[in-house]
Amino acid sequence: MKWTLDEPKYADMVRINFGSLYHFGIYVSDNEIIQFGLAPGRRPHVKESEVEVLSSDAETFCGGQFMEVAKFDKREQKKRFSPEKTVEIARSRLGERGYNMLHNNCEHFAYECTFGKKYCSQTEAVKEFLNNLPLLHVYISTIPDTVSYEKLTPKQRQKEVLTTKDPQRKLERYFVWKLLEHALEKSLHMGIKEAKLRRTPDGKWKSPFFELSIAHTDGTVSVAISREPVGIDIENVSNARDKLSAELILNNDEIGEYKDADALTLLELFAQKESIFKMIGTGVFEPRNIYVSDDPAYVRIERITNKNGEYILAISSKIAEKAKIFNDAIF
Amino acid sequence: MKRNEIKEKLIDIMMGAMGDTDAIEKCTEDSLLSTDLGLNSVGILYTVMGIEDAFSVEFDDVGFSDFKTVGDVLDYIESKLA
Repeated sequence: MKWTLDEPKYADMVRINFGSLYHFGIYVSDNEIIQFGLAPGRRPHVKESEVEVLSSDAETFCGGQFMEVAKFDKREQKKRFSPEKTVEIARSRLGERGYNMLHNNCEHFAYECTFGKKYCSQTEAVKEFLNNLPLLHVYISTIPDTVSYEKLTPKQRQKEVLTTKDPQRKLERYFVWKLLEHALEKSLHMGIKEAKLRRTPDGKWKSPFFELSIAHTDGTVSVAISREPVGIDIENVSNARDKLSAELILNNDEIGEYKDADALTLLELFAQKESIFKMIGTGVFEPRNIYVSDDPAYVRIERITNKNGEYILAISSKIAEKAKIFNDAIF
Repeated sequence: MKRNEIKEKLIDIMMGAMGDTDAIEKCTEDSLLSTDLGLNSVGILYTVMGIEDAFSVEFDDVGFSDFKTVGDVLDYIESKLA
């Protein structure tokens, strides 16, 4: 199928462009274009449940954009309904609701009226994107001691960083976000704005397109991007300097096995638990409430060395063993 | 023990956990442990351990994230010493 700027004819599938998306309809005449909802920006704010199949004139449909007309190849011409049947189906669905952006949108509607089955090139493109997401990429970098702070996106993150008073913490929060920008570009070829990052009420950052986790400590920052839920934690090995309290880290079921463990082992367990907590993603972090898994496919521990010293990196994910780790000083 | 004496001891403990910083030395009861004083999760762990040792109390009925500010920690220590 190709899209042209030809004059539309009776029963043509038509579309207009708005931003990165299209709005579709069935052209009957200049005064009657049947479509599932109106293009965003052309309608007052309505809930998805209130969107319905309606008819509008061409001016309303187009909203100042050029109307493109579908030109079918020979195979599509054979498969499509007759023009009369297409219009009959479209008119019979006027007033229908049940709009769903992913499964029952304006493009699905136009295809159904024309070919008798749903198809949406736009959601197919998203599905292909999701299928091509990296399994699990983890990025780690050291950070400089000072910086000239640039603007961050979204504004909520900018505010989070600017209101952090502790200078070291502020630097780490800033640079972990810059590392996330780097990771998005390298792994997903995506800009930070496109990622549509939002902070949940319990303080976690999420994207509708992929899973992520961030961690930072003592001059080193890390970011994980994955198609599956993931949690990471990074701890400086020099923090295993005293006898860590097993009672504060381990629950009753674990204390027997690990109570005589050295400080480094306890620090690894602590990092594992924090990474598991971040993967699960809700509530407050209480290490005694988290059970460390023996399944290597779920939790992976790596030692990371950089100019700042040695670190424990804990990765929790059902595909943790497939994680690719990129340990480069990118700043 | 008076509250300001508890606070001075707590400051020493936090410095032991996170190093000597101006932010910790000059903290107020409203100072946020994480964003104002830079305490990360393992720093909080060491702080809790230090408090248990210094004040002979046990953190047996709270979680790590129950304390947001210096004042929250002081309240808890005071309640345990009462």
